Amino acid sequence: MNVEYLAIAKLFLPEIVLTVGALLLLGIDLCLGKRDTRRALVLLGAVISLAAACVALLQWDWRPAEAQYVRQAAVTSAVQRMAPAVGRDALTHAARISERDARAVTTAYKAARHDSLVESAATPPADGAPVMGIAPYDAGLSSPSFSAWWLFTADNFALIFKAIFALALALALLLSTRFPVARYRGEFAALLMFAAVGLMVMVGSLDLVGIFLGLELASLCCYALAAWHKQDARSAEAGTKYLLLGSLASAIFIYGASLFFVEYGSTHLHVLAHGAAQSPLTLVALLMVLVSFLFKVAGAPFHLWAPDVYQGAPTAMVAFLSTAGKAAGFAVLVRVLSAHGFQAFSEKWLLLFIGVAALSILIGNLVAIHQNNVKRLLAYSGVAQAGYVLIGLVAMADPAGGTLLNEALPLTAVIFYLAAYMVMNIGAFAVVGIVGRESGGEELSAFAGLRARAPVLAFAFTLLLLSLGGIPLLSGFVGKWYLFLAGVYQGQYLLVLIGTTMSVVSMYYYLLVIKQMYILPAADGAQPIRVGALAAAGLAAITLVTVAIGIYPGPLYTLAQAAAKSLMP
Amino acid sequence: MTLVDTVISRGNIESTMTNQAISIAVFFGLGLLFWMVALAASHLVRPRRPSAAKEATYECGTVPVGRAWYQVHVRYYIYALLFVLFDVEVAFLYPWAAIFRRLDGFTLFLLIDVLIFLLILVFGLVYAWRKGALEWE
Repeated sequence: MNVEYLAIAKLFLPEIVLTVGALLLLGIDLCLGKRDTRRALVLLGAVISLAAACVALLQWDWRPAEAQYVRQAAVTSAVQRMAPAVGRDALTHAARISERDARAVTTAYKAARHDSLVESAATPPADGAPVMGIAPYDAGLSSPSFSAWWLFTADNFALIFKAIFALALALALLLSTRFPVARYRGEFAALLMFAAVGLMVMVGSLDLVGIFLGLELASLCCYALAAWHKQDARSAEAGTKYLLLGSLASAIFIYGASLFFVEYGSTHLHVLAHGAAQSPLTLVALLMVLVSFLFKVAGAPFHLWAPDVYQGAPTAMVAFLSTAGKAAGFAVLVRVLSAHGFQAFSEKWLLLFIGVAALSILIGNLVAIHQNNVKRLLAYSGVAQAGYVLIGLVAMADPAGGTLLNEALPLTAVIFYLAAYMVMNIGAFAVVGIVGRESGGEELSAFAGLRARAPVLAFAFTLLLLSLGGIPLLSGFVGKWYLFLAGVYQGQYLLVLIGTTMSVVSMYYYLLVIKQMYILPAADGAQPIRVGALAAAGLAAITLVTVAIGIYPGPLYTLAQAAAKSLMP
Repeated sequence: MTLVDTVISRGNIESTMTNQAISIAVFFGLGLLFWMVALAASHLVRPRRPSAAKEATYECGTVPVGRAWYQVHVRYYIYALLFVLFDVEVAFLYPWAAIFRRLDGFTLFLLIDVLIFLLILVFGLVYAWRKGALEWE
C-alpha cells in the first residue's frame, strides 16, 4: 500500500469511519423487512459514531504546543511561499510556474510532515523562486497526495470539533431509536451520519472550496431531515424554509469565495491570510463569507429561520442541528477570522460582530419569553447562546490591529462553551422529544405536572435548563464565565454587561418551564411517561456530564486550550 | 490584422486575460448578430398564411394536450433526481479521465479512487431500486 495514501487517509479517519458505517447501515437496512423495528440498527449507528469520536480523540496531538508550532510554521511557510506576490495579477502569472517550483513546494510539504525534517522545510529556499497563488493546483499534478495536504488538516482544533460532532450524533441517534415510523429509522440514522461527515469535512478544511463542500453535504442532508414528516404541514414548512434560506446563505458564501478568487487567485485561507489587504473587494468578500456563517449559527438578525425549522423538524435532528451545526459554523468563523491578514483590519468586521452579538443576546432572550412552544423557546434561547459565543469571537480580535490570538483565552472559551452547550442542549431536546412523543405536543402545557408523571425526567430537565441559564455548579455557568472573562479582558464592557443582564432575563423563561413541571398540576387523564432504556441511559450520561463539567471544568478546559493553541501561528 | 488574429497571434501572457474577455465578447456579438440577421431575413422572405395548426404550441411533433400548468406526478422528480445524479457522475469522470495518463505511478490508486466513487453511486442506485423508487405503482 502506498504510504502517501495512508497519510491522506489519516486526515479523514473519523469521516471514513462514519461514511463506511452509514453505508453499512443502509446495506443492512435494505436486507430488513418493512415490519422490522430497526432499533438495533440505530443503536449500531450510535456505536459507530462513538467509535468515530474515539478515533478523533486518538488522533489528538499530545505533543507540547511548541512542537506543533514548528510543524505548523513549516506547513504555513510552504503554503505562503506559493503566493508571495498575491494580487490581481496572480492569475495571469500562473503560466510561469515551472515544474521545478512545483516540486520544491511538494518536497517542502512532505518534509513538513516528518518532524525530523521540519527545520529544513521551515527555512525558505535559497533561490527564493517566486511561486504564484495558483501553483498548488498545478503542483497537485506531480503528486496526488499534495492536494489533500493543501486543502485539509487534522490539527487539534479540527479534531475537538470532530469529536463534538460525533458525540452529538451518537446522542441524537440514541434519541431516535423510538422514531415514529420504524420503516425509515435506518435512513434517518444514515442521513444524520452523512450530515456529521459534512460538518467534519467543514472544520478540517483550509480552503473555502473544501469548506463549501462539507457545508453542502451537511446542508443537503439537513434539508431532507427537516422535511422528514411528510404528512405534517409544519415539517414541510420547516423543510421548505430551511432549503430556501439555507441555499441563499450558501450562495452568498460561494459568491464571497469567488470574490476572494478574483482578488488573490486562490481561495486557500493561508494565501488569503498572507496577502489580505484592506481593499474594498476583500472587505466585501470577507463580509459575505462571515454573514453566511452567521446565518448558519442563527445569530440575529439572521436567525429568522431557526424557530420555524426547530418547531417543524424531527426533534432528534433539531438536537443535532442546534448543537453540532452551530458548533461547525463557529469553527469555520474562527478559522477564517484567525487568519493574520484579516486581523489586520479587524476594526471593520469587529463592528459587525459586536452588533450581531448584542442583537442576538437581546432578541433571543426577549422573544423567548413570549414563546408557548418549548421547541421555539429553545430555538430563541439558542439564538441568545450564539450571541454569548460571539462575545468570545469578538474578544479574539485585537482592536489595536496587531497579531491576534496571542492570548488563548477567548478561543478556549468559545470551544469550551460549544462543547458544554452541545451536551446540555441535546439533553434538553431529548426531554422535549420524549415528552412531545408521549403527550402529543411540545406546548408549555404538555409539561404541566411532569414531576408526578416522570419525576426523573423532570429533574434532569430542570438541571439542564438551569445549566442553559447559567446557574453555578453547572456546565453552562463555567462556559459563560470564561466567555465573559474573555470579553472583559478585551475591554468589551458594554457587550459583557448586556450578556450578564440578559442571562438574568433568560432565567425567567427557563423557570417558566420548571414552574409548569413542578408547580402546576397535570392535565386530567395525563398518563405517566415511559422512557426507553437507551434514551434514559443517554439522558443520565448527559446530566452527569453537565454537572461534572460544572464542578470540575479542568479536563475539558485543558482540552479546549490545547485545541485553541493548535490554531495559533 | 483582425481582432481575432490579434487574440491568436499575441503570445503575451499578461494580456491573455483581456484577450480572452475580448474573444468572448466577439463570440457573443457574432451570436447576437446571427440571430437577428436570420430572423429578419426569414421575416422578409417567407410567405405568411397562419392557420390553427400552425399557431398551436410546438411539442416535437406530437399534438399538445391540455394546458402547460398542470401538476406533475411526484414520481417524475425521483426519476429526474436519479438522472441528474448519474449525469453529474459522468461530468466528474471527464476531468478524471483527462489527468489519468499524466499521473504516472499513481494510476492504480486513481483507479481505486474512482471505483470507490462509482461504487457509492451504484450502491445508491441499488438502494433506490430496492426501496421501490423506480416502480411506477
